[in-house]
Amino acid sequence: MGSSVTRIDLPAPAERREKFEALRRELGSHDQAKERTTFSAYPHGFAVGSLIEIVGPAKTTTLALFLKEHPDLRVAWVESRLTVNPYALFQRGVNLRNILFVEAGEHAHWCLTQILESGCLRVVVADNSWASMDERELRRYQLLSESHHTHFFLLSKAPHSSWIPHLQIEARSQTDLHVLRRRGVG
Amino acid sequence: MRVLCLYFSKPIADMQSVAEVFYRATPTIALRAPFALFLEISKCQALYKESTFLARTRATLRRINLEANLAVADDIGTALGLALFRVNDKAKLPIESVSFYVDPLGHSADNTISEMTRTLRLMGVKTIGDFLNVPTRELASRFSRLGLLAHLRAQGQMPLVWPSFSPREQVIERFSFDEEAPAENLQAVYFPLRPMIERVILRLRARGARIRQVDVILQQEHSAPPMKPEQRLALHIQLPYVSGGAIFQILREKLEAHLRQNPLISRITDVRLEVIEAAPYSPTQKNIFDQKKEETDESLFQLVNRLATRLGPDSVFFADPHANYLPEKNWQKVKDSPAERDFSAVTKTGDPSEDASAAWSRVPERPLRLLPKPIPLEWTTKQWEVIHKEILLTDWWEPRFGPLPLERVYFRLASKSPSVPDLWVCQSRDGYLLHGVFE
Repeated sequence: MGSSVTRIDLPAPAERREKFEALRRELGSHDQAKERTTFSAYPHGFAVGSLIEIVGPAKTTTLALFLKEHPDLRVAWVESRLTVNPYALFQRGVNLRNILFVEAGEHAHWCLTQILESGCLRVVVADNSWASMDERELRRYQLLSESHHTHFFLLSKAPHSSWIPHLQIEARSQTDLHVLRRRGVG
Repeated sequence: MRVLCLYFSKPIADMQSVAEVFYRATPTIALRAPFALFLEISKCQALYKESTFLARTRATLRRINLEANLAVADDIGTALGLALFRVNDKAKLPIESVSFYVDPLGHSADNTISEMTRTLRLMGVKTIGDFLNVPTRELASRFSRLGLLAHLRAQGQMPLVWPSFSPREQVIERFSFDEEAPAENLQAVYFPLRPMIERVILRLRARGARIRQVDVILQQEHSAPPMKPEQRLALHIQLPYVSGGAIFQILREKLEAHLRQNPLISRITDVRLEVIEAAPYSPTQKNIFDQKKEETDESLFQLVNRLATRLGPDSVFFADPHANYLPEKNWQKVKDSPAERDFSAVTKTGDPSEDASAAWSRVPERPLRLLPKPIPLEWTTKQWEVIHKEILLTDWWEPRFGPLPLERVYFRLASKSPSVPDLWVCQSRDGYLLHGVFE
């Protein structure tokens, strides 16, 4: 009795990548990796439609810098209890004309869903400091962000253990960002 | 002068409200309730051709669910006759039209006019064309002043003096159900509610205003005390709306939610819309080259109104900054996106020669997070270092902001540990209060 081993020659990685790209183009899938919004503190830039979680002592300052660099983006800033200081954002060069502040109370989940589904705002900022979101909610926001090409920023006290965020960053200072985890287009 | 007559197939209970819809086109309006409305449109010819104006009028009537015959002529009497009898030639108008020249607005209940008409018909004068051929001398001798007046007006002489028209102070729309068949549920209410909303929007737009708050009142047949027969629901509109359809949708959701908590006790006999608050609104021309922007703006308006309806009008806002040292006064909530900040309008001292942007930069950096109510904090110089000190004097005549004193001494504390953000702490009589975090 002998065992036969069938040898399969896989194509080279570059050739495999090319074939995947061709397949994606045929299927008409959206190439999110190509659409990225630049950010001076993060050279990779943020992929459009990605869910980015920012933790650390300078998370809001970092986000303010991002918004300052993109004054034309329409933003929704959603918090259950609004503690952000709009004047401080203005001092840091953020364009307040394009920021809609929402004090959602116990309706934060509903508000975020409505905002993401409307598709008319390019950036959504959610504060996760007061009540942690569960994985199902995060997944929903991630899917909605992807389908509507919206940046979803989650400001948290500690990094979420879920796999869902495309990018988790610790902001130690405005320009000192450390990537904790990255997946997919993050 | 060119006059457009709208002759309605069914009597209109509140002709004034329909007239206000067209106030935007012309302020010269006359009413012949309950069937006809007259608009003086000669000055509109700088903007629209007559055919365009007629098309727009038809579109407006469709929007408010009304039907009317339209006719344009050089005077009210002729326009009314052409609209009522649906002829194109003034000379072919039946002799009964002569009453429109004597009393075009229908104020007089005098039988003399109908007698004159009957006599003219017996004399063989059957049309206005025939009437115009009758010598003036004969008319004066048979019919005296009335006949002469009618003849002169039919010739286009002695035009009528238009009564002045002014819109009502408050915009109210009302619909009464048939007494024998009041509405038993909301579905029957929605049907008249939609054109009522359109009419309110158009009436306000004619005055350069838009709805900020509108109340819907449902009048029930009877009620059980202490409940009142009227159910009132307020709807706040945050941002300008283009379509009444979206307002109707929000109103519908809110009405259903309201009635789930306060169900109807009996059938509805009356529905009223009362505009409580209106805000200025000048509609800008749509950008036909950037359709996407127009759609996005519309979506944003709808979103903001939906959020505000659920959360309350003060929970959804834009922020307008002001140059002020006090953290609770250096910005305020605004409903609309704040205009481009004109630095020259805001100076600390009011000195016009001072560079206004300097006023903004004098305010030290403020923390990105402010606690709604400062909380007590204990700190030591072992863990914290003071990097900035600021003294603020509040307005003594204003109420105190929480536990903060009149004279506030703020410290910016930097932690010796790099992973902790700076704090903004205020010194009080009993210790220190944490007011903000430089996160």
